[in-house]
Amino acid sequence: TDISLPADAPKQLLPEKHADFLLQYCSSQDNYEYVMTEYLRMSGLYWTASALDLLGRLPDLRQRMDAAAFLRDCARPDGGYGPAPGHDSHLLYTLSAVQVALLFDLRDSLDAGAIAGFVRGLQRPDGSFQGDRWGEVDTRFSFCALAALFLLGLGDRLDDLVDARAAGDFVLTCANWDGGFGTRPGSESHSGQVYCCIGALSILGRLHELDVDRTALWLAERQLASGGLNGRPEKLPDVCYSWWVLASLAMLGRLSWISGERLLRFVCAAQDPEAGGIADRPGDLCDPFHTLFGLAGASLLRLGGDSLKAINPTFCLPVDCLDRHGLRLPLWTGD
Amino acid sequence: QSQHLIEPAAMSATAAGGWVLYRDRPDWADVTPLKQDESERTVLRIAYTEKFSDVHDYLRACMRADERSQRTLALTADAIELNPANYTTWSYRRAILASLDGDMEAEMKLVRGIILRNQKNYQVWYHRRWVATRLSGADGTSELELTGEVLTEDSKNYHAWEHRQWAIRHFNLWERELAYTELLIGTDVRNNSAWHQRHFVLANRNGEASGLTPDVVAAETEFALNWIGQCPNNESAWSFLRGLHLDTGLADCPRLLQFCRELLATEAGCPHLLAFMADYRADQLDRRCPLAEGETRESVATEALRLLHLLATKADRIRRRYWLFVAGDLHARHGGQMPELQEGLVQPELD
Repeated sequence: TDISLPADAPKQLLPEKHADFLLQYCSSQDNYEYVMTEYLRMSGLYWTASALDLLGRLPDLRQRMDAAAFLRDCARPDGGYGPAPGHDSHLLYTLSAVQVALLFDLRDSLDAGAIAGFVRGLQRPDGSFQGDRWGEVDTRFSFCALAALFLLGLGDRLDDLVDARAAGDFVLTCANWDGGFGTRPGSESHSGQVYCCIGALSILGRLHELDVDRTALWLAERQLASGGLNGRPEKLPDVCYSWWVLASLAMLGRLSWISGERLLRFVCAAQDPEAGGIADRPGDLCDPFHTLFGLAGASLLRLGGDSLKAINPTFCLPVDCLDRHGLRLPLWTGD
Repeated sequence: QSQHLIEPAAMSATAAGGWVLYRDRPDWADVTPLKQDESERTVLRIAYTEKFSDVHDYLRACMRADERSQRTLALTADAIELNPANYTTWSYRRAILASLDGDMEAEMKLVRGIILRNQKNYQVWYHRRWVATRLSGADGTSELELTGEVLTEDSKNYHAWEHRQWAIRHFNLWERELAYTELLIGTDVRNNSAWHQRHFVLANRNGEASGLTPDVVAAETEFALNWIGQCPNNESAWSFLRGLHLDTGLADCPRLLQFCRELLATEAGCPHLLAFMADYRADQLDRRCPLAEGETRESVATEALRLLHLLATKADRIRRRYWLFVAGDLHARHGGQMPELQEGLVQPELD
C-alpha cells in the first residue's frame, strides 16, 4: 500500500506560495468550509500562524486580525478555552490558545492560574486526562495538558499542579508490544498518538523508561518507498505524519533512521504549485493543517534552506518563539 | 482533524421536504436568535448556508439561555445533522438528555444513523458510549453489530475498533472476538487492526493474568506462520509473531528459525524475514542460549551481520542507517565478521 509520485509534481519547496495560500485562506471567511470548521477555529489559527511564522510571514497575519480579542472571546469561565466564541472549553483548544498566545506575544493576557486549574480538574485517578467535562480519555489530552502547562512557564512546577507521576504512568500503559502507542491502553499503535505520548514523556523527562530503539524502529517503518510516512502499517502515506513521526524520532534522538531526502521529495510533491499550500498527498486539496506539518517536517530535517525557521519537535513552535518566552526543554540525547 | 467539505447543492427554504427556517416558525417566536457577530453578511448567499446560519443562530440563543426542552432537543438534532463534528452541540444535547431523563433507546437509534453517515467522527462515537452506559438492560451485542457494520465498509476504522474494545471490556464479550479477528484477517491479511485486536484479545481476556500461556503461544505461532507463508511481505503478521514471543524471547522457539530458513529459499529479498532472522540470532547471542551442532557464537554473529548487510544494501535500503546502526552495535557486543559495508555507504540515497 503506497502511492506513486506524479512525474510532474513539484520538486522544490515553494515557501512564497504557501504564505500566500495561508493568508488567502483565512480571509475567505464566508466560505462553507470556514463556517463548518468553526468548531476547531483556535487550532486552525494555531496551524496558520505557526506555519506563517516558520516562513517569517507572521507579521502579515498580525496586521489582519485582532488575536487578543479572539483569545478573550474564547476564554471560558472554567479557565479553559473553546475553539471559537460560544463554544465549550476543551483541552485541545486550550493548548492551541496557549500556542497562539505565544506566537502573537500575548502570553501575559493568559490567566495561567485559571488554565492550570482547568487542566488539573480534568485529570483522572489513573493519571489520564479527559478532554472536557464529559470524560473522553485520549493520550492526545495527556499531551495537551502537559504541553499547555509547560508553555505557560509552569514546567518546573508540574508536580504541584497535577499528578505528574501518574500522568506519565498512564501514558506508559498505552505502549504496545510493537513499540507504538495508542489512544488508550490496548488501542492500536498510531503515529499521531505516538507523537503525543513521546511528547508527554519528553516534558516529564521520562523517555529513558521506554524501549527507545523499538519505538524508533516502529516509527522508521512508517516510511514507504514513495518517501511518505503512514500512520499505521499498511495505510497510505500522509504529509501530516511527516510531522508526527519525524518529531517523535527527533525527540528520541533517532531522526537519521528515516530517509530525509525521500521524505522531502514526497512533501514537495504534495504542494500546489499554483495556489500554494500542501495537501495530505500529491493531487489532493490543500489546507492549513497539512501545510503546517509539511513545512514543520521539512524544517526539522533542515532541508528547507533559509526559507524556514528552526522548529521545536515537542511543541511544534518555532524555536525562536520558545526562546523569546524563556521556555527551554532540554532535548534528550537518546543515550 | 482536517476535512475537505463540498458544499451541498443549494436548497430553497420551501423546497421539497418542506424545510422551514426557525425564524419563520411560530412556536419559536419567543426566542431571539443570536448571530455569531453583528457585522453584515455578504449579499451572495446560497440558501443552504442560510439554513445553517438560521439553525445555529437559534442554537446559540438557546444555549445562552440554557433551555432544556423537547424543542431544543430537536434543535440540536438539526444542528448535528448540519455539522456533526461540532462537539459543543453534542455537549448541549447531552445536558438536555440528562435533564429530561431522555429516551436512551431512541437516542441509540439516532446515534447509530449518524455514525453510519459519519464514521470517522470522534463526537459520535463518544456519544454512543455515553448513551450505551445509560441504557438499562444493554448487553453490548448491539455495539458489536454496529462496529461490525462499520468495519465491513472500512475494516481499519480506528474509532470502530476502539469502540469494539470498549464494548468487549465493558460488557465482557471476549468469547467470539478471536473468531472475528480471524474472519477479518482472512478477508485482508494486511489488516493491521485485526492483527492488533487478536493480540489484544489474547493478552487481556484472562483479566489480570496474561492470556499468552505456552499453549496459546504455540497455537498462535502456527496461526501466524501459516499466514506469513501465504503472504510473507506483511508487516502486521510478523509484528504479531514478535508480540507472542516478547516475554520469552525468540530464541526459545527453534520452530521460528526452522520456518525462516525454509522461507529464505524462496523469499530471500523479504525485509521482514531477514530482520526477523537477524533478531533471532541477536537474541541467541544476547541471552547466551545454547547453540545448534556446528554453530559457534562467532558464526551466529557473522550470519546476523550478513543479514543486516543485506537489509542495508538491498532489501530495505530506505532504512539503511538503522540497519547499519544495528550491525555496528551487534558487532561491538558479539563480534562476528563484518561484511564489506563500504558499498552500502556510497550508494546514492535515491534509486
